[in-house]
Amino acid sequence: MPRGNILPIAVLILAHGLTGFLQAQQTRMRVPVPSRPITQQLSDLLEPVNITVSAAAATPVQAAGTREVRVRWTTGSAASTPSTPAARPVSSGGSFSVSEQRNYPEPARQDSSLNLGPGRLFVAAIDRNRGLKSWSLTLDPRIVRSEGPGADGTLTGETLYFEHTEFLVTIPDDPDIVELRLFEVQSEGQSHRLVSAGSVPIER
Amino acid sequence: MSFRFKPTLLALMFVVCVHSGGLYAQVVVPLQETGPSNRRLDLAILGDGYTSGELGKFATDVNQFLAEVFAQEPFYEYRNFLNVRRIDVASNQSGADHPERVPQEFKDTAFDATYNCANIQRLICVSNSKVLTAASVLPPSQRDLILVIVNDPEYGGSGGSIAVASTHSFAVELILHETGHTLAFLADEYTSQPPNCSDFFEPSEWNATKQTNRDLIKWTVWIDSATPVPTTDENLGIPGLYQGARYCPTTLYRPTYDSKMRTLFRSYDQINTEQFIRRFYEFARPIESQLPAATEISLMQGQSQEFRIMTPQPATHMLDITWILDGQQVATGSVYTLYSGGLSQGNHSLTATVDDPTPAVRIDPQSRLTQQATWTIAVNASLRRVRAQVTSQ
Repeated sequence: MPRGNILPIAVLILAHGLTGFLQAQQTRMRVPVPSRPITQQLSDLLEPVNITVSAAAATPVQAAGTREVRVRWTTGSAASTPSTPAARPVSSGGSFSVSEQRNYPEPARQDSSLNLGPGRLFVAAIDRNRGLKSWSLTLDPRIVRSEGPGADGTLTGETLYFEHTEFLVTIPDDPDIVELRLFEVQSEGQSHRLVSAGSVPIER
Repeated sequence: MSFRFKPTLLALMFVVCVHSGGLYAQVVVPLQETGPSNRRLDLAILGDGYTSGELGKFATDVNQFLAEVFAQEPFYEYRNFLNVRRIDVASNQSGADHPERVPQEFKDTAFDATYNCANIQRLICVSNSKVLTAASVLPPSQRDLILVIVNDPEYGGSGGSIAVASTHSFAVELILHETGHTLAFLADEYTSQPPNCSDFFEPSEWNATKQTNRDLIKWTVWIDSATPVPTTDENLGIPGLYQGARYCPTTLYRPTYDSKMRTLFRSYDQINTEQFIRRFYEFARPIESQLPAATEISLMQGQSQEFRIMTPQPATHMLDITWILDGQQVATGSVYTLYSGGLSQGNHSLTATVDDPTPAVRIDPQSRLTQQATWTIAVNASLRRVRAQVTSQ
């Protein structure tokens, strides 16, 4: 290739590379968002409901094994199908009980972030001194959604509540855990609060 | 893209379970195992209304379902962050209950699937208790998400802690939408009611806001400076501030004009995809394992040591790995061999920083896409020098 042709090609390559680099820098931008340590977040959330939080409970637990607790939710209703939310407040009309417990040898997985929001159930596993031993956050298993496309293709939906259902809670196989406390999450903008939905004893 | 069916014979389990309905056999078929379950999002798929003679159809339906799921972003790019297992459970009869039909139709199935649940034609309910019993053949870490496919071609399903879908062609889209709620904690972006509009507080979901100040919008980094706020453009996939979200026609806003959280057969779009990826990384951390596993290493001066980082693998890009020795970058890539000959005696620090450079995530408040491993390396006098010192003394 004649030497005279190399310079414009090199400039083009450099310019192309620089454009790509600048675009990449723009698209890779990561915005730091300050967040408080999870221990502090848990303390803020659980102190109002009289549960104390230590750093050990907030960070991932590597217990020897997992205990899976099958929790049953029942209301006084004889209906076997879910009802609309307008029919009644969720927690006041029913209760939780333990229907089964099973042990697994694998370590319990601990959520690493608090994804708080409405329609979720916060489960706190506590010891005799109301100290937090582990926690989990799931979609409220009493909720069922019905959604489908309307005439224009846009979705429509309804949210209903099971009168009777079962769900699983996994906790570390820790003999200090004596109770599960279940809370509904209520959002108040950027802050959240827990509303007691019930509790179940963990018997050994 | 076709989904490749990869049953692992050794891992295939045959289990007999007793439940309230009698005795049934379950077979667990691993379809995709990409890593340890404590480092993956694990999906368990069960079928209802498939007779023993129809379990082949169930396998085909599941493969079709997965092919459609993994053809869409972000599941395509992050498919290796998921393990998938199929649990075969035979029903006595084929199909599902249709109490709305005349005459009514009832089927004896493993999980009691019924249409017209709560008098909503498209709502399919199953016995959660029976599903959990069957799914419990897997340990908890292998069923982060549970899906039941019902052997009935009529449109229907339900979202919640257990997702349910019929074999209707729209059902995959419905499940992808429901997964937006279940896994990514996303809000509906449609405005019809019910449910009721609740706009007193700022929504906690990433894809809904009442904020109209551009700088304070949760997804402001995605909004091009030329895009007006609020945004009235009706083009798809342009981040902005679109009026109407979460059952509120005017007071809440959504990030794009028409995403999958509003209409089936749409893309999730940027802001929802970003949230999915952040959630994937709550199951699969950027560092899957490290070698040496011990974080305190002792080397004789002049000795070499290989350090290695294993990461999950997105489909089309690699995670960035940077090696920093005593504050200076010394290498990139998954393996770094340290030669201690040039190091002084004493302690040195080696850090590997792993980062997913995907442009699909611009906000990572908890640094889920970045992780570090650090080793402390004690460099000791070489044998020759020790021997020389001993001789000179």
